[in-house]
Amino acid sequence: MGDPRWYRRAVFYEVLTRGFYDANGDGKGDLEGLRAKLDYLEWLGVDCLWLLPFYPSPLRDSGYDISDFFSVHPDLGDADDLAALIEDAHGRGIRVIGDLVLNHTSDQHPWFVESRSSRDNPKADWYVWNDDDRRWPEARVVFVDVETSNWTWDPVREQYYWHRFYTHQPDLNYENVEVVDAMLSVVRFWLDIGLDGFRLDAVPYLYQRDGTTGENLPEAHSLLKRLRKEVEAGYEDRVLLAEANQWPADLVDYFGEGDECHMCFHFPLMPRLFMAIRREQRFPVTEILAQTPEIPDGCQWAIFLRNHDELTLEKVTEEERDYMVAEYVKDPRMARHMGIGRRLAPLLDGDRRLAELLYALVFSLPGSPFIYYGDELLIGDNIYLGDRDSVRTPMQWSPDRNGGFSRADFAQLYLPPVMDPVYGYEAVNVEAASRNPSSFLHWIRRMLLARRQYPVFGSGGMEQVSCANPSVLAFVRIPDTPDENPVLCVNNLSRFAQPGWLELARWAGCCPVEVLGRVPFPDVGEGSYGVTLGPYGFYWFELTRSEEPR
Amino acid sequence: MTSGTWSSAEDQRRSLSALVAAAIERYGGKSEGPQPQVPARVEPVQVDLLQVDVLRRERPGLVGVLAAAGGSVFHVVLGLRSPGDEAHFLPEAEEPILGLYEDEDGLAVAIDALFDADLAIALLQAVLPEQASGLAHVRLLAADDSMVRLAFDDRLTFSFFRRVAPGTNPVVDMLVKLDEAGFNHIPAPLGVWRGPSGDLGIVQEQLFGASPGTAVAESSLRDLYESRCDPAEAGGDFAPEAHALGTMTARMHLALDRAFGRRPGEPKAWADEVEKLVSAADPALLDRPDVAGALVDLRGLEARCASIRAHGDMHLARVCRTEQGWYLWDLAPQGGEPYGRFVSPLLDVATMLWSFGQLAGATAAERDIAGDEDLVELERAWERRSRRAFLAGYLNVPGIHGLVPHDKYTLRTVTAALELGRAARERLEVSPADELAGA
Repeated sequence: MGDPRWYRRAVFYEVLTRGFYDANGDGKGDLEGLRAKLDYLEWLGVDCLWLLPFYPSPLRDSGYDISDFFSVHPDLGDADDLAALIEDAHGRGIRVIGDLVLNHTSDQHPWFVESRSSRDNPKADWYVWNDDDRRWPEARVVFVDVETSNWTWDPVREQYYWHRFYTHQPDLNYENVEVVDAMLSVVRFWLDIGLDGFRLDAVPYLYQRDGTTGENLPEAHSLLKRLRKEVEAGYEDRVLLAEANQWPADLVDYFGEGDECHMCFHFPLMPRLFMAIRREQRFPVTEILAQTPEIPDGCQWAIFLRNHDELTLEKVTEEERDYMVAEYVKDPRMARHMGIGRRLAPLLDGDRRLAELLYALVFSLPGSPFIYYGDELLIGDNIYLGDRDSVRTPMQWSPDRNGGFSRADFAQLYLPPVMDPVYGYEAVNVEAASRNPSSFLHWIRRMLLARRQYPVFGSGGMEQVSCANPSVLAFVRIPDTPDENPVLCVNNLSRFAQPGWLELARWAGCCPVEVLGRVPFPDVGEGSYGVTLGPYGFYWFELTRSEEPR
Repeated sequence: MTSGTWSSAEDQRRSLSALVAAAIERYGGKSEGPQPQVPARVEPVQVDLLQVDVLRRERPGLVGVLAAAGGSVFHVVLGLRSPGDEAHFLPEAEEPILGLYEDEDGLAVAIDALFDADLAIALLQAVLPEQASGLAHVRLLAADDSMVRLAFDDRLTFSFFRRVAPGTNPVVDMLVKLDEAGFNHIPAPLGVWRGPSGDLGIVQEQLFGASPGTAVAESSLRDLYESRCDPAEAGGDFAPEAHALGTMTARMHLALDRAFGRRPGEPKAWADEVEKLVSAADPALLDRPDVAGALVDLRGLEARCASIRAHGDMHLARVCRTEQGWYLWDLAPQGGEPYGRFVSPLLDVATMLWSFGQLAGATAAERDIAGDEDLVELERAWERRSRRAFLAGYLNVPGIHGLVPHDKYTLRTVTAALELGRAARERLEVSPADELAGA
């Protein structure tokens, strides 16, 4: 530890504590259970855990409806358990960041209970109230499939309150300095306990202004800059990661000039990776990369394939959304909000070659990769569960009862584990996969080890390599220090073998050494460089100068 | 010449002629990507020097020569290197060393300068200095007896015309005028090297990561033949690409109309031309009712049709896809055709539609040689869908109906007959278009 830019080289692992491991046998995963599985996470080779919300909550939105910012949900443990988890993880070189919802609270939060009680109580202005529901009509409804308006009538206060998400999640009013101060004290509270940073939920929506969509407003950016300043003033090596589901040009604003968030999720890239493999062409990916502006020094993209939400299709065109739904939603139950509620493996029809190719891309494109718990095993989903629970089922540890997740009675589990014959825990679990050296789990671990040897993947620049074959996506990661070599990544997005003639004249004289096997390939010459790729094949080549092989 | 003494002016001229003749004799060789078809290679017996320009005085020097040989005017740039000077020749190039030469600065090895990496950069710096700063890498893209095309740093391309015709080169003219008319789906012209009697070369922006249209369509077909489903449901559906291609084609026509104007179209003359092509392919075809009917319909058209200086042979191999969309990357007309003809804009539409069917048919045939996999239905469904998407993209561009007829009958009649002509030109199976219903 001690590298202030650690997040640029880290591999993140997103954990639903409730679904990871149940240490006390109550049917729900907990912090103690997560701590018990740190051996596994260390073995896997991840660098940072991202904990989904662990706060007290009525759990009507998987904990994103927080009813107390200063403690831990009793199902998961308490603040001491979190401190112990962090200490143990740090001892293994693993950092821990937490989710923080700035935009709203649960309607059960005492702040809201007080605010709604009258129009003149001390917290009357902590939320956004209005006499009618006609203000800010330009602001879209995010959960269009379940909500009809961003305003909801409160019969107690006899006014409407503003909510960008569910009705039960009233938005905090950041025009009120008391709210800003209260949330800054929340941040300090958890950083004092030892968290290495926050994933900041839904940051584009913090303010409202007449005549705007209420997204990406300058006031929201000012608040995030203030938050960054407070964090840097009091703490070292912490990270702020923005969840802003926006187009690249708007997304980069969340980095500020290097004075806002350290990281942002690159939302538009993700669905285009899935499009590219179905189209068997690189253009969906290269088009979005071409639209992605440079980011300030020290900042980093967060890139991912799947997460705890639906595979969001907010940031694609209407035609692209239709395409994705046609390709990946084989059953209407798979559609969730404006996206697809499925896990990685079923999305890919269980094709391991595709999973390897997609992970090879996420591990090699500019950004820090995020792995969603269980995707390292290629576990499945349960589309018959409500909302986004389809992808929040218990981690599959062994073929034993409840998949080794919990010793509780099956009926007591927070959600049933996946039990279908293809992805069910009897077939797909850590115990079996770790015993099988050719499992996907071992493959991921091996790739993470390889990636760790090449810091250029985290901190380097990228140059696309010209190739006439539309199914081949090739690029070179360029190190920012002279003591590292560039790495050439060549990917075949097609299910058929493909030739790739790469224009590598700039690297003439280099010997491409394949990273996993250290196999030297023929030197790069002045002309086009030919590479043959198997179906969904990929190569990572370290470009060494021939006279000084590593 | 080999004595090392300074030769007379007449000796120099004779020596230059011999070197230029040697260069011209070697014209031909490597050709990559779509290239204009050119007449058979000329073996000049005698070379007349028309013009000699010293482009760079010091060694390594550059001398540009225009020379008449075998009825054509050839353009050669000689590089002059001191003996023993280390040169870096481009791989896969023609043999670049032409012989020895002696001038005021002494004895030199004469090289075809385009195939010497440093001299190629020096040439660009000498003729188009504003484009040539900071260049490091040169790559040979194509060379035949009419042109050499080089890529510099994968940033710009330099097309060097080996044959020079008097006046403006029609391809250069079209590129420059399209650019001026605001059509940006071409590799942008950055600078033109103009000689006293004609254009000598052009520098263009290089299209990065360009895939030929045929390769993009083939990847869609490959996916379809494997998935065996409705093309609309296939992951590699080509329709969005065909639609974008149609849009690009319409924008090109509108830009060509702005740049070169329009003339009244003559359906009867178009019909005559198609008839000639069909007859050349197989006179018996003219007796086929569908063929004869298509020609009668075209001749009988009452509606007014415009002709413009269209591309003339725009098919999938003439376009390419980059992450910025579709581009026109080859503007040369069909072999033997004169440049700059005024034809119906629907000739380009017909040619593209024809190429969809061509490619689908060829890719199905190579997979289904015995005909037992029944790919014909899939192939036709793909073609139908691509045609409809292309036409929708084309006809939805605002303003295009000022150029092409509104009414479906005229549209269908002109396009079907021109497609017939294009198919006949390839001496392939004639299949008049009948898929314009979706237009």
